[in-house]
Amino acid sequence: MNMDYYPSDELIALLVGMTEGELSRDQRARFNELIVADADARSFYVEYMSTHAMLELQHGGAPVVEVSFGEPSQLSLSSPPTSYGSLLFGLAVAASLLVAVVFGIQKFGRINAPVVATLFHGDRIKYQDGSLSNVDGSLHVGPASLSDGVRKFTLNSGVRIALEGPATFAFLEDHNRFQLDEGRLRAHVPPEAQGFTVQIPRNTIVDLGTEFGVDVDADGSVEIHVFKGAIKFGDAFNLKAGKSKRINKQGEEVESQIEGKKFPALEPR
Amino acid sequence: MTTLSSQTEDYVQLIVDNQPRLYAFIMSLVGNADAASEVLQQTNVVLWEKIDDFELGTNFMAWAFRIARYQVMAYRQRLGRDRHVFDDEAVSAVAQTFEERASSFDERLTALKDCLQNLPDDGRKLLERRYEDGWSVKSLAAELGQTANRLAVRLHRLRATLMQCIQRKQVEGEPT
Repeated sequence: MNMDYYPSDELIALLVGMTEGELSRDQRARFNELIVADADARSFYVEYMSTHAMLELQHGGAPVVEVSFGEPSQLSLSSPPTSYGSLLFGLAVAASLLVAVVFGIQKFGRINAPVVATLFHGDRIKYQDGSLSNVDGSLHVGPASLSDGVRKFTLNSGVRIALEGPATFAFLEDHNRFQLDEGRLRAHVPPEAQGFTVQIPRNTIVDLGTEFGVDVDADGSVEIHVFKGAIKFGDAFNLKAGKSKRINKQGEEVESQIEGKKFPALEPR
Repeated sequence: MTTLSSQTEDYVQLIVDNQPRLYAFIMSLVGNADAASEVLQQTNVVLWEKIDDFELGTNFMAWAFRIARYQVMAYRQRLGRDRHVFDDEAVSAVAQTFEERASSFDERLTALKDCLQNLPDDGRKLLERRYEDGWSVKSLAAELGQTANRLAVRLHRLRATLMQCIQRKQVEGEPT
């Protein structure tokens, strides 16, 4: 890197925006221009982000590598501690040759949960631990809540959901599953995600294709409206397009009128 | 007790040894820590799946960076064009610049520890709260009674100070 290079105020403002806040579309465009056109600015950026990454590593703990292979049997492999912290290194060796590998960066006091969805409408979502979802829209595994308003997001499986608060819910590790404890949602399920499941208190709703709404009240009563395709409600019943049903808190099924407007809109892709 | 082949152990050790460098590489391309962690996880899965495609003794770092770049591309496709920080041209340029300097990454990471000790106490503590405790700038600023912008600039200056210290150590090759 050019040791005599001093970043412009503009570049500094963009770096601050990137590491500590958000960049607007115009700022992102300008950042691109600077980075491509100016080799010194680019070198500075790379050094700066390397320092930022090193600080994450230094304070967040070492990379943790876990390797699990099918059915584990015993083994340990020691590795000398590195200069950037203690390194956990455990290996289990399978009877079979099938391998499932999970690696990740683990931070002390906070494990980086996998990203399972992307927000495309609405403000950042608040998780129950007080954290907010990422500025880039990525949504992690974990329980969350919404006091009001509508948020729309796409699960990694391709399912699109419009969720209306007040709502209590959770993103799950299974990319094709969503937990709704209270609140109202509309889900659009593409063919490749058929079998998408909404986990509600005491039951599940499995999509048999393609679009439905679920409303879970605070008292645990549930209303399901099927707009396209069909759903399977636990082992109790299937419900086809144009039909709706309410299950009260006593678990009794009651017919209801289908009402699309009751649920937040979900525009076609 | 069963043991892995020495070749498999060597390969796994390469993956482990290169985690920090890979993380920083991905971070420079996607711009935030959580996305970098996600892409790193996916990169590691692919690195493991492709164990038979790699010949020990060849340049693991270049190979791993190539796989990481593909995972960054996949991530950016999932994210959607509107949310990218960099366009394709910028990603290529940044990736190349990073790779040119990647071999000295471990040395710089070691230097960082010393450079952190050279910071004033309040600066070091601020970095701990930002990075170790995971406080957002907004929350930290509220607690410290400052504006978020002022605090963000302060964090920037701390990083810039550390950068200069690390570069000095590299050039001079001795503690400052």
